Amino acid sequence: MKMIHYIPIFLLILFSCSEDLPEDINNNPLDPNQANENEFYTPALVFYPHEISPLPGDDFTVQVFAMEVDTNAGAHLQIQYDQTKMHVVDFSQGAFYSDAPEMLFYFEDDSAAGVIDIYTGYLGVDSAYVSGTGELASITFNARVDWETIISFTDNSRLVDSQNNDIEILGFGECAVHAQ
Amino acid sequence: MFQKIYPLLLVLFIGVIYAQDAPPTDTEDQEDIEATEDPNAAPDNQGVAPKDQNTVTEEAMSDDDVKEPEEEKKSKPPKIQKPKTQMGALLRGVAVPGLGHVYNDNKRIGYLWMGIEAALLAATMNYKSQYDESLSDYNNYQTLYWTETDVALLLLYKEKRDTSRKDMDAANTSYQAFSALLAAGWLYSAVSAYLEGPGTQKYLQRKRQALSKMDMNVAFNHKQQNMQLQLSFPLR
Repeated sequence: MKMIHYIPIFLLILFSCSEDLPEDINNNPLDPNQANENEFYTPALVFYPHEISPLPGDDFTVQVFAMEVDTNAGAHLQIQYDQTKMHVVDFSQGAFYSDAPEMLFYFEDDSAAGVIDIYTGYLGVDSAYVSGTGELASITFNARVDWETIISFTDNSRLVDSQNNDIEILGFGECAVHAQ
Repeated sequence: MFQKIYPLLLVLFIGVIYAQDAPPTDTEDQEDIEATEDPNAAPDNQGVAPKDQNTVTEEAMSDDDVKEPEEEKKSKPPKIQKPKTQMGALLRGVAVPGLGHVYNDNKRIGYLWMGIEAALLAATMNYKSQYDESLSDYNNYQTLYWTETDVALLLLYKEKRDTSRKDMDAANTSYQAFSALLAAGWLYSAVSAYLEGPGTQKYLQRKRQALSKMDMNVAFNHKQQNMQLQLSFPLR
């Protein structure tokens, strides 16, 4: 009768032949559908990725995107970061205005205050503009030690059209950095 | 892919081990008995005329010496025939679905169970394979969705990922259903083999029926110009 005791185990094993289904993770900050679901309104300025986990001492790059903007010709991005926890290593311009014959890309890093100013846009052609979602710049930081912090936009950030009129920015994304 | 099947194979293995310890079948015993039945049976060289006793040589003596251990071997008592038991049927049914019925001399049902369970196992494995494929696609599209910065492409990957998820859900549901059917069928066949195993009323009834199977034929005999009834039944 010993084997009878094994039957429930045997059945349990057999009946457990179903797989755990993975959960959908819609965490791409550039996903417009997800932005609507999360009540994150556009036009917006966002970071990609919106979460990053570099090793202490390692460099990591954060891209800055204009999301779902209309008739955009230039931008002033003011970004705040904790200067005690990381420092800027490099800047590079994005591809959003890459069609421009002449393009402005100017950056300034106030490492004492932890504020970055980036000016970018079309130069010389008044009627040129772009619409949609595109990369404005990318910034490479270096993580100093173990910490958690946030990189964010300040209210001084602006998007303008070809006539230098402000485009209302309805959403500001953040980038959570967990150096570990 | 077969990660979840390993425990099943383990159980199968345990079942087989236990089944080996179980009492043997009648046919196995019969073979054993036939092999050991007649310890005094004539050897293969029976037809050869014996040599003259007076001309026994050293060579012949040595032949006798050689034959002695062989005779000793043959004179071993025959194995005791173990009777079939319900537990033997159960263990065989657990090890291989349908084998318990075959052990109970109910071969038709036994092979039917084997066929059903093989078909269910094939269907289960097929849905598992489909699930794995869909999961792989899902993970690929999920990674592409995470890493893509082009909005059109990321939406495309998201759509494909959702399609893969639907396929995965469907395959998983079928996989679950067929694996449950497989398990239930397996259990049912093992338990029914046990319940109809040797010693039970059903087993005896079936045996009795098999023994008393009467063959009855009614036909018109043209030579004698009359109806004839022919009966035949085993005399065991």
